[in-house]
Amino acid sequence: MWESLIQGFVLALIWLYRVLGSSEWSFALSITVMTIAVRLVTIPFTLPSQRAMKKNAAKMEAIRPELDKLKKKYRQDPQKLQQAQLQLYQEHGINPLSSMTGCLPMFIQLPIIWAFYQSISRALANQPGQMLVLSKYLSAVPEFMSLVPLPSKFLWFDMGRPDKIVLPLLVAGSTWIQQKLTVPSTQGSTDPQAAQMSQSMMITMPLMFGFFAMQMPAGLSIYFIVSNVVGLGIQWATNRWLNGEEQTQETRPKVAPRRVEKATQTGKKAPRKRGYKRRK
Amino acid sequence: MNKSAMPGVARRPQASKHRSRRRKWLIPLTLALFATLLAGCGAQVPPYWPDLSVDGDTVYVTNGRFFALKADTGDAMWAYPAVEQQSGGLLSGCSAPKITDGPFIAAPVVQDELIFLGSGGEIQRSLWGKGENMAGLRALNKLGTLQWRFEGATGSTIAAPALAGTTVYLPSSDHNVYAVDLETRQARWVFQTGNWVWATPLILEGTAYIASMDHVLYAVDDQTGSARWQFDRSSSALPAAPAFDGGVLYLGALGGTMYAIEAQSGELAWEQKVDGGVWATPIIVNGVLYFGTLKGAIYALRTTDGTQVWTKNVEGEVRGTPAYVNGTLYFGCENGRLYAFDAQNGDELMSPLGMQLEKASIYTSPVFDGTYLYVMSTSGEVFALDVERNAIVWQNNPLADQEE
Repeated sequence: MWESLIQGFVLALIWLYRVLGSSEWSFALSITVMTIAVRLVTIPFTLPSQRAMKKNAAKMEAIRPELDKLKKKYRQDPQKLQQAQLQLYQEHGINPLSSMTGCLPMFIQLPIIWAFYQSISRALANQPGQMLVLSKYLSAVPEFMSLVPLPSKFLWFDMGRPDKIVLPLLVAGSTWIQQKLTVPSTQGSTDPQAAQMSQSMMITMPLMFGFFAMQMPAGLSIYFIVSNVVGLGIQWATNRWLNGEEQTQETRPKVAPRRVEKATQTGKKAPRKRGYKRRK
Repeated sequence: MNKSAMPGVARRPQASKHRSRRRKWLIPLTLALFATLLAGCGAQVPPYWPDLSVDGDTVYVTNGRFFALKADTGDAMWAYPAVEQQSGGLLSGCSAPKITDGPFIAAPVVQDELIFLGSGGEIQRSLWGKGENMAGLRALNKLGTLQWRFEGATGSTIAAPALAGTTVYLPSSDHNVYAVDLETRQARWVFQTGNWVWATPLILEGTAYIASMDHVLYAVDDQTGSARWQFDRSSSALPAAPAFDGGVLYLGALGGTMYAIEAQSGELAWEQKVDGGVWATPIIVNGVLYFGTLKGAIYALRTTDGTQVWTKNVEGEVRGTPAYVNGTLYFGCENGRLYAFDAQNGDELMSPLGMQLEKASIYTSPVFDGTYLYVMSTSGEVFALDVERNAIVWQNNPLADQEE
């Protein structure tokens, strides 16, 4: 199953490489196109959790004054403070672990991203053992064998070898910007742990990915950079959409005013929100 | 009494603060560790397989390091490099041992006094530019002591070098073949191809035939390094050297074609499509060409026109050149089995290995020295087989022995 997934990605990458002209630039373009496709395909995994996190953050914001009061009240007794906070969360339907469960979809999409990441490395086979594996994958479409070994030179670097300075810096920088865009949603949070965790992620993730980029074939750095840029776009669009949704919910009355008026006059029950929505 | 001065009460918020500070780093660090482990281990495909050759009463084995074993008992006589420093590195492949030279992947060529070994290492690239050059040729004496190095190459050597007269022809992944003069220890000429050279150059009657991964076979003057002709009709990469018989070169391609090429002119005599890529040099016996493919097909083709004598299938990739002993062909296979076939009709015979190796493949070409058939698995185990009695005479894993 896992190998089939990687094989599928390898075949798609090489097919794209051929479609894009089998030139020096084609494989880098192929990685770029596939990365965009993979990121778009995995949106359904991330969107529901982002929506839930956003809602949770708004609720947390609403109960902030009450939380501050509790903090003052139980300053000397952290255990009681915790209990009171939990009770408050329950009353308002808040999931205090939302920042943790928010990671879950990330782990669900990890196998797809990981398989894609491995497929880049395997398509760029530059050692006999890797070439043997690539030959096995390509046996499904024998005419692809005429395309290997893929040309690995691109711009100033070799995609099959690590670039030690420029690409790691670009990877770290783009990861940091993406983190920065994600963090504001938790920065205003009343949950200090979530905020602290976000801050530490801001430092750890760019450093970690920058370090990876220094060790791994440069083709993977292209994937990281494109993935981060696409991620930025997705994050921006998602934030816009979620903010718009929030505003609509805040401004929208529970029931249509004209209908409420009519219902009051006739003494009937006001129509349900669903009916109003459908008509709208 | 001031409540905050009470030890138990005053310290609790402080302890909680420390816990919180620790927790703040817990998830990112766990995530980082998880990703590092995946990156370091998950993506690893073994980069090469071991190689084997026999000279007189010594079996030479390359498996990252280079070992000399006694042919009759399998006992290790010496290893090069002699001292190995163990050092782990998550990103260098999960506790990969650090070796002071090499690694050595390809079998050596042996002269009267010296052993010539191509290094699988390459020029080290660090943050500050190029570092130590681990590529090139090593000349060892027969006690395993380094005599001299040729460091003109920058890429790894995947196939054994070739020796003709006083010149060693070193193939390299830096796209070049280096003709190293044994007297001056310098390259007499360097021939550049368009991609990695993973095949041993075939030296015949003043010509070096060089198969390259750029899909081209080059015929080069072995004295001057100038090209005589090139055969560029292969649609795929050429990872192995051609075989020669009766003025014709027989060359397998990774795309699944066997080519017969006139050695004088480079003209195509015939070509035959086969099922699966051909990685190994074919073997020629009595006008019949024998080879296996990466799809597990075994072929016997007539050298005259490429027509089929017989064909068989095995379960797994066949990468190496078969060994021919008294009318029987021995093929190593990915599934860990050594297959024996009657060369006449392709009937499967009893394997002298007698078992299927667990969690190991046989990608290395088996070698027959007139007494025993030597077989090596990807786990590094070397077997000496008596093909008459269908018995294992000895088995040894020199790398494992050294690590103990």
